[in-house]
Amino acid sequence: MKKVKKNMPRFLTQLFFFALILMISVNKNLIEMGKAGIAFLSSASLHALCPFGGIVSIYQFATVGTFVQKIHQSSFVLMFIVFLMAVLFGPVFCSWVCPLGTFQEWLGKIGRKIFGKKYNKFIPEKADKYLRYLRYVILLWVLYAIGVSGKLIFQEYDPYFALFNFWTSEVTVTSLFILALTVIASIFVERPWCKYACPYGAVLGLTNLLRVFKIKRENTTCISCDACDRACPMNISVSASGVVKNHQCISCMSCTSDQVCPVANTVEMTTTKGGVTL
Amino acid sequence: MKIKSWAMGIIILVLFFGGIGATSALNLWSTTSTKVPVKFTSGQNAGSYNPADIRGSYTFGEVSSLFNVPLEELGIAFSLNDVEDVALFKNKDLEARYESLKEQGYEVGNGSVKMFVALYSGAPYTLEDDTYLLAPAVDILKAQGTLTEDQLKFLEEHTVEFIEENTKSAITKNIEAPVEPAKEDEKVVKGNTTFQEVLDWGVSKEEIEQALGGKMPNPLTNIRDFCLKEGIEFSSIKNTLQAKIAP
Ligand code: SF4
Ligand code: SF4
Repeated sequence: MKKVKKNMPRFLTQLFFFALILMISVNKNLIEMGKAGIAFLSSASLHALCPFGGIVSIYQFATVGTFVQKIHQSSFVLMFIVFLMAVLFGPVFCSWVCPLGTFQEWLGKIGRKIFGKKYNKFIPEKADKYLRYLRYVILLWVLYAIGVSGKLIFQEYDPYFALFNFWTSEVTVTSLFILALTVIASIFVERPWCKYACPYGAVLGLTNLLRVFKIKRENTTCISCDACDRACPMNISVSASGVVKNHQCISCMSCTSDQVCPVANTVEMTTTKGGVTL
Repeated sequence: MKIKSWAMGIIILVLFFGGIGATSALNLWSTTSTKVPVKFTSGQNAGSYNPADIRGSYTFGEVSSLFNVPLEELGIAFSLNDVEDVALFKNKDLEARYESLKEQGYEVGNGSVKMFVALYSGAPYTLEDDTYLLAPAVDILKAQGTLTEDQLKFLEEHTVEFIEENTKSAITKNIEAPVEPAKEDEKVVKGNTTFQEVLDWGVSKEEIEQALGGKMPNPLTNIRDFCLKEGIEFSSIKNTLQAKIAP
């Protein structure tokens, strides 16, 4: 039984996007300060590179035909790309691309060192179950508020924007506070922002109900070792599912036979139907 | 069909950069604003762009073409005579350019562009008290002759003159002054003239009250401030009083 502990391709993809966004953000700030930027890099505003911007813009685009302030056509393009990926593979954006997710994950490694097996298991399951719907509340609030004002008010709260702009004056105290909260919480819980607050994750999470490539567990070969459950950053019990339809799955593939499942061809990302939902 | 991790990574990169590549080939990839302001949806101006939606990232060139304001006029209005390509000048850069004015409380920035464009094109616009225009802009607007009396009065209070002098800048808030600065001892009614000065120049209290159509306040009151407060048109009072001052 071969075991790849680390999901190398995922790690590299995350590293790539994290570095890319960081450099673009630094570049933009350099250029705005009048210094020479990094020539081959885009100096686009982060707003232009945020696919969530596309979502918040739909409403306004549909009604008056313009984008929300600071949102650009590129956000729309990214939104479609991310959405297409999500319909096919689920919220891969969260686990493979989103730099804020990556950031939380890396912080989580510290927590795992400190707390060992206790890590990511601090919140009582019952409360947790309901808390996980909080991000839909936040999503509705964001859409409502933007629909009313036409301004990118989410920026004031967005820890993602704060993370890559904390050295500029464009960042609000609120978003820095939320970022700090996310950092601290990440030591105890894996991806706290994604689980409880991210409105974009909320949108993408819905695709888990209809995605083409599903996370599927083959009941006949499963040896009930629960390795998949322990590996899941979102605390989903894969071992109790035939097909993972949980709205919180982020398609990280940690649970697959490629990664932790010791039995080959047992947990897979696949189009084939089947698997028994227990 | 199954997907393994390596394949997933590659698919993600291909979709992202393929998508970006394809849309930029189709000219759909733009990371800068789309520069389409909202339009008026009702009233006389329905269908035309609303100057209130002009944003700091717009260049003068864009403002000019979106709102049909000749570029030269915009350049003159904002005193960009030393700017090489006015079309590429961004609204938000006005603020830095006229920082010294801002420090004195007279902000000339994107708001001023909105106001100028709105008044120029006769679009409905709520005048903002903290927004100022440079004197040349006001001259252009006046020359158009379409301003209402209220707007004229507002502009009188919201005009700044930007004088660049050995890198230092000075300002006068008064456009009613003659083009050539009046000398101290010249008897000219200006924005900072008080009733006392006019009295000293030999105009009687009765004459002043006749011009005002009412009681004269404390003689040390600034004439223009008084007019503004009372809703009297300063320029006509000024002319009447000026005529009465002995040469
Ligand atoms: S169910 Fe699997 S793919 Fe989904 S989040 Fe959990 S470990 Fe990742
Ligand atoms: S890791 Fe694999 S074998 Fe173990 S419980 Fe999960 S699906 Fe079954």
